[in-house]
Amino acid sequence: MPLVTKARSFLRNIFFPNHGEADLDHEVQCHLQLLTDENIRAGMPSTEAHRAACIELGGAEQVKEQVREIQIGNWLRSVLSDFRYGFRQLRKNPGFTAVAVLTLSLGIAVNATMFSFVSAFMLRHPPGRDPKRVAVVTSINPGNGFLPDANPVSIPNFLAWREANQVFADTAAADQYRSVNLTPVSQSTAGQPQAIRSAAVSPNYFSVLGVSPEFGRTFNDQEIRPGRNRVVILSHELWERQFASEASQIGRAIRLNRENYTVIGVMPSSFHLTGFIPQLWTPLEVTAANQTANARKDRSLLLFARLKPGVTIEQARAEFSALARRAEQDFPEIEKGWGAAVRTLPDFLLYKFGIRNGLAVVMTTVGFVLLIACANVAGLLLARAAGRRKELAIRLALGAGGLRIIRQLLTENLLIAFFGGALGLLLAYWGIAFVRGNMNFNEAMSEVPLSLDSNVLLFALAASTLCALLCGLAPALNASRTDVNNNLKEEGRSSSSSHCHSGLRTTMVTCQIAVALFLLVGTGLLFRGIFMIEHQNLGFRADHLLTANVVLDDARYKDARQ
Amino acid sequence: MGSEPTTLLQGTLDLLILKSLVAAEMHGLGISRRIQLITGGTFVVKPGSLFPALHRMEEEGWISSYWGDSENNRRAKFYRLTKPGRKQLEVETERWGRISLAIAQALQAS
Repeated sequence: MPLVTKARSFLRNIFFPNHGEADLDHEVQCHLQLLTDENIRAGMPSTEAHRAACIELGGAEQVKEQVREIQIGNWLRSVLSDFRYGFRQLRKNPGFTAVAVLTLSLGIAVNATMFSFVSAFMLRHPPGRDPKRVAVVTSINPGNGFLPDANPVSIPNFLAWREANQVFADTAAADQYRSVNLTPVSQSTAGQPQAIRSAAVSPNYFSVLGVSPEFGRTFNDQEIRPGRNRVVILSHELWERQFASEASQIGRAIRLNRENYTVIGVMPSSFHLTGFIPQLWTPLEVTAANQTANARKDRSLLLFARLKPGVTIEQARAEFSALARRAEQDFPEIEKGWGAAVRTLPDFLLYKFGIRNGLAVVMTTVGFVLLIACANVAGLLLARAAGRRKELAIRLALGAGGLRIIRQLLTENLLIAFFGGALGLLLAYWGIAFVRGNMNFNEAMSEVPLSLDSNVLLFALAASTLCALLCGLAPALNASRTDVNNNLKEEGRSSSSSHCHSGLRTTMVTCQIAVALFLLVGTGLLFRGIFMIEHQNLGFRADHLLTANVVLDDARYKDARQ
Repeated sequence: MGSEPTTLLQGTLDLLILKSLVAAEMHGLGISRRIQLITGGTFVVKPGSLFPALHRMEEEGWISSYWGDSENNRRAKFYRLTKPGRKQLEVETERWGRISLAIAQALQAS
């Protein structure tokens, strides 16, 4: 069977090449001998016969190489032998290898560390079903401020726009910035009330997002009415931390703001919207007081809605601009200049966190650092290439194609780059841990899952490959154009053809210094800015002062007077 | 056309090698000389083309090899046809017939 024969030949060529080599060599030598005998029989003297036979053969090595090229698995075999040869070369030059690998590893380490941010913010999908089809509606504040078009929406607008719009299948609302006092129920545990961040949501909030609770149920439409709304859904972390993950907690009451709330469900630990950190959810109560014209000034809701099938986000945007304009006409004193903005959920979360520009700056900076590392290693490779001209000239003379030589040099560079990448990943692991440990200046930031995940691994792999190509291309192209005769004739290393090399090296060193200086100046300015902010004159002495937020619970302080 | 077959005529070289092995088992040089003989001197197959073809056909399973002694008691690698090889010879012969017929037809058309 041809397939079996071929498979057997393939395996034999890859794993036991030496046997085949000896056999082939023997065959070619015997062929030469037969040719010589033929010539002698024809009457040539023996030396003449041998020489004529050699000419007719055309070179034993060339013939053997042509046979090798035709053998199954030859490509794989030559790639493997390239790797083995490259590995040997690197081991013979430990100093060069160490410097090149270390340089690349530093470049890849900082890139991988910063890429963990990109992975956590931009490559992570928000929870729920098809988050790109969830739109978030916010108000546009006519006065400027931080993120002017991520302002919340007032309750009257929410109710009006929910009825009036044609683009959403279902509209929900959430007040994400509430706070409640949680008092532990049993007296035996330490009974200090804690301030817990919470959110008040409309009953369809979870279904619009497409998430189901891990245990229990979500709110139903009855539970937004006063008297029925003493129910609460816990987040997974709160349930673990405060209630020791006891399943019996569901259905029992907990004390929030000095009132009993029944726990009806627990959300899964995967339910987490970047930048929002409520630990529990209560129903959003809508009373008559919330629907007066005055209540329009109180903007507290973010609207989450699912687009109807076939509707685009631009259509939703246009519709809500029109709705906002109508609100402006109906209530000019309050709604003057206020517009409505619509974004998809992933876009909104990224925009709201406000980190996109910072990420761009950081990734560009570390990209430059990687370029510097690559230029460094490329310079090292060029210098080393100058010393290998003789070796390459011999290989060209033996009949190696230019492409084969380029491939072999690129293999060596790939080896350096992958070792650099592996070491870089190890450094990045510590780097990410360090960054994560220090990035806890607010609760939202410490919720962000920074880790060495598969995205970072793939990125490091891609960066290593890119480095190999960048570093190795120039020296490899130079090498394949080696002038064979001149290089073989010279003794030792003369400097005649390093003339063009040194021009390239000078350019690269200049560029590296320029970019490094640019990065240093930028970083220095950044540090100075931070220093100035931290040490600015506030007009009072800020040492030994603490700030505190006091949350007044509604039960004891019923109106503004108290 | 006194030059050696090019890679374009790889099927042709296979055909000639298979045909010459029908008569007897031979070593590489013998195959080369036999092809020269039976084509009346038109095709002179150089080792650079012959050896790759022989090894490729051996990997395909159409011929098999063994080490033996030549006429002058020199060691040489001999090749013989296998059963799949005989079938391949029929296939190649029939294909060559079709090709030459088609070309003859094309040349006759105006």
